[in-house]
Amino acid sequence: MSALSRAGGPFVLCLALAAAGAWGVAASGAQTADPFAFPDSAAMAESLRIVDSVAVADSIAFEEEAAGDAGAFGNSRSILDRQRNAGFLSYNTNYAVNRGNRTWTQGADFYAAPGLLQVANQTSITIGKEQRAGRENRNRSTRTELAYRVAPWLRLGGALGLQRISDDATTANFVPLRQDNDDISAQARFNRRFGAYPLRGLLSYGYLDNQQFDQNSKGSTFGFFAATSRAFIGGSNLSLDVSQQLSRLTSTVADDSSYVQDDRNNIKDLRLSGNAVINRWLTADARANAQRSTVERPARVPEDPNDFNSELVVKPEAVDGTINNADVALHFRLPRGAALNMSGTLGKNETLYQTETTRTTIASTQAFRADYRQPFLGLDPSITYENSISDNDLTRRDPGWIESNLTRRLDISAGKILSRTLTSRFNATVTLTRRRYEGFVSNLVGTSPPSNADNRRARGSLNLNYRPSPTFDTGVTAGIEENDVVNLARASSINNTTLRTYSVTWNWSARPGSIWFVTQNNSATAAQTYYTFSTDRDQLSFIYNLATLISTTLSRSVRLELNNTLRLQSRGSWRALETGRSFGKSSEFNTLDLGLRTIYTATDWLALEAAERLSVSPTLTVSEGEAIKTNESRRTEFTAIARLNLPMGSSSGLTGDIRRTMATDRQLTYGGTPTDRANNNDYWLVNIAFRKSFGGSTR
Amino acid sequence: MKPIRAPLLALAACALIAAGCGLFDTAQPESPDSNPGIPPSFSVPESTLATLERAVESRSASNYGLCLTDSLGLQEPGFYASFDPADLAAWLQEGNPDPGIWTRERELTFFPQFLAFDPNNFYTVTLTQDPVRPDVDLNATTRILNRRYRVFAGGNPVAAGSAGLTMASVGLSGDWKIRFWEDRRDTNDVRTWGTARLSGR
Repeated sequence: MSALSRAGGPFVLCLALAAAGAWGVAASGAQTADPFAFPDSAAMAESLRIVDSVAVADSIAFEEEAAGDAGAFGNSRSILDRQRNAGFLSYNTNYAVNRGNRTWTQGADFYAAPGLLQVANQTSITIGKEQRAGRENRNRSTRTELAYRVAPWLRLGGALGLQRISDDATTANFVPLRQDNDDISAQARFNRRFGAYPLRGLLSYGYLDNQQFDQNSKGSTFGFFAATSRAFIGGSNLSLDVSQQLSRLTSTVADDSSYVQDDRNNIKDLRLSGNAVINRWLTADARANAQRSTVERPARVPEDPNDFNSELVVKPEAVDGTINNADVALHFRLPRGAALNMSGTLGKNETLYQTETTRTTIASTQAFRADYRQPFLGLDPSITYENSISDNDLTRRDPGWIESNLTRRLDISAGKILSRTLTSRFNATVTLTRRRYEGFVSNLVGTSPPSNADNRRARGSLNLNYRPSPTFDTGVTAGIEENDVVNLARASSINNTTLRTYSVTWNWSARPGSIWFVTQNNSATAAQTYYTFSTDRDQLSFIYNLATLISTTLSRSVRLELNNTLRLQSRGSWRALETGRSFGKSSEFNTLDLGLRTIYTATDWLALEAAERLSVSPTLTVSEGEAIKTNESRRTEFTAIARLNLPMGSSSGLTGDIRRTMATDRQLTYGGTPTDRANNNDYWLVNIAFRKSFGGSTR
Repeated sequence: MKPIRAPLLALAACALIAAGCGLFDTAQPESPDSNPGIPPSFSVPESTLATLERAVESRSASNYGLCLTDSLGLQEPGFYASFDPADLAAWLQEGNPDPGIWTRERELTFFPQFLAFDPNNFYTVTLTQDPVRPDVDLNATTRILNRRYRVFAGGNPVAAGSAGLTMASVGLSGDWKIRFWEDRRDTNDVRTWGTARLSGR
């Protein structure tokens, strides 16, 4: 009797309920985490024009958005039920320096359970400073929970959370961030088994105050979470999670005392997952997830939506979100060691902004994957096929379009042990990506959608490895690759290319004696670039790369390493003449990199390292057969590193990685008036962490 | 058939089917000059300049080449171009070798690279009378047209400057072609066509 038939009724019933639930939940809501936020935040970063640090602007926008959505519900996660270290209190702090950036983090985790009472507190403080942009970011939060065990399966209690976030910078056009989130709630938790079904749940009701830079939302919140699962004989199981969060907030804005908005927020989530052992040859697993949400809040938008320079006004915003995801996988175990896996995924994700409509994203994905493997004749061949399609509807933007991406991949590989010392491996892959832009809409003059484009990449390689003894091994790999870039539109097809690359790599490693280790990697590559519609631009490049590492262990505590990399590149035209193809070298670019490293292990907890490196990269232009050096860059670098891992008793410890790099970069040009410019580029990289546990061990 | 060979055949069959049934074929692109538009005309110097504008805008390398004089079989020097002295000095100051004479062959090689500067947008070209340099008639078959040029792609400037274009009436048909392009700067913040030639895009 199969597990599926044993699971029988409950399994089918749950599956049906989940499917009904997934489609039946009211379609009104926005997910809290917006996976398509990055284009928005990138656009915001661009508009801010913080040339000092685009990354800063990006992270601000992301934090702001995430915090804004989370603030609509408050923090309902419990710190009473989380896993914790031994001891009633643990404290950790970390200080990091990355060039001009400093970050100091502190965290404390407290938990005590006197009698039937449970008390927990978690506090964290992070202060970040970025010298270049004059930016200071502070994030402080503390959360305290209290619970009384009324019965073994029921706890009643409450929670208090405080969060303060600020972000300021002296850079022009920086948008500062201020956010104060306070929430207090009463909670009831239950955890009880009803026959074969364990049931966990949480009910909470509380008050939320979310104060931002220019607006404030406060009001009541309600949260509900329940989860159950069922394990069947034979290894099959099924689990179901349901949650709902509601809040009703009154929103006001700082610059208009008469503005009041009644926000009703709602997020419902349903998750079902399970796996089934159908018989000894076949197992299956599946997951389904449905979410509906609505988040309401005031939004600042330009008074005239067609004029971004018009005055900002406050309007009510409602963000409706829908997520539907499902995936299923089948795993076959066939005779003679063969295995076949197949999986499919379907997903749709909508975030509809009613006021800031241009932020709307509607995306869907479909994916299929199959792989087959069967050992025979000493080979271990496998074949994998993947096909995925993703659509992104951006028609609410101007200019806007529907972007569709297809990725298809076929991969075949096989390996064979030819003898005790010789092994071989073959791999071939072909990948097609297809990008299409349909339904172009725009009111802007002179705009056009990006060009539809295909890219096919096919490559194959054969590798032989020879290992006659534990002290010596060598290998050779030959590969060929063809990469076709096909822009379909007339405006872009002038750049269509076929890039054909041939490569040979030879590597060897030797350990002559107990203190020496030498390894070397040689590779030679020839890359031909053929321009489909402008053959005069065809190019040929040669790259030769030689990398050598020699390691010498002088004593138990001292090791020396010598690293040498030589890279020679040349490039030129690859013209088709009546007599055949002709190479006309036009430039050379070479790199010589030499490094020496000394590692001294002073004690069990301290290692010191000194490294020196010289890198020289000359560029030469070839004119009428003569190579003329046009410029050269040189980098000399010295790095000192200290690594420590110091246990301080059983309950505390100090770890650190401190490195100081002193570097000089020189740029030499050999034009009409030769120039020689040098600049220092010294910096610190530091990461020091300390942890201490009271009443238990940190290890 | 021995059962041991079945997996090998299955693998080979899968690979052949996938490769052979067009699963990994790329689509057929449009040719950059697939829309010939108005046929080229070289009857007067101005029509040659209009042909040159349209050749850039429609990405037609062949029509662009027809606007330039060719030494082959015409018993006369082929097209060549000079650079603005400031552009040339800046180029040499960067450590680059002297570009030498910019010939017709180099111009034809450069043309697709110039179009590739902004591959996603069609270019718009305007040639207008240089307000400070009048045209000069040297003789019945040679004229110097001083034109200010502006090249944009999707609203962004690609090249701007002024050119003294020596037009010559060549061949039995008397077609007017560009024999010499004297390139000059006339803006501070947009590169000239000559700088584009030097930088190869």
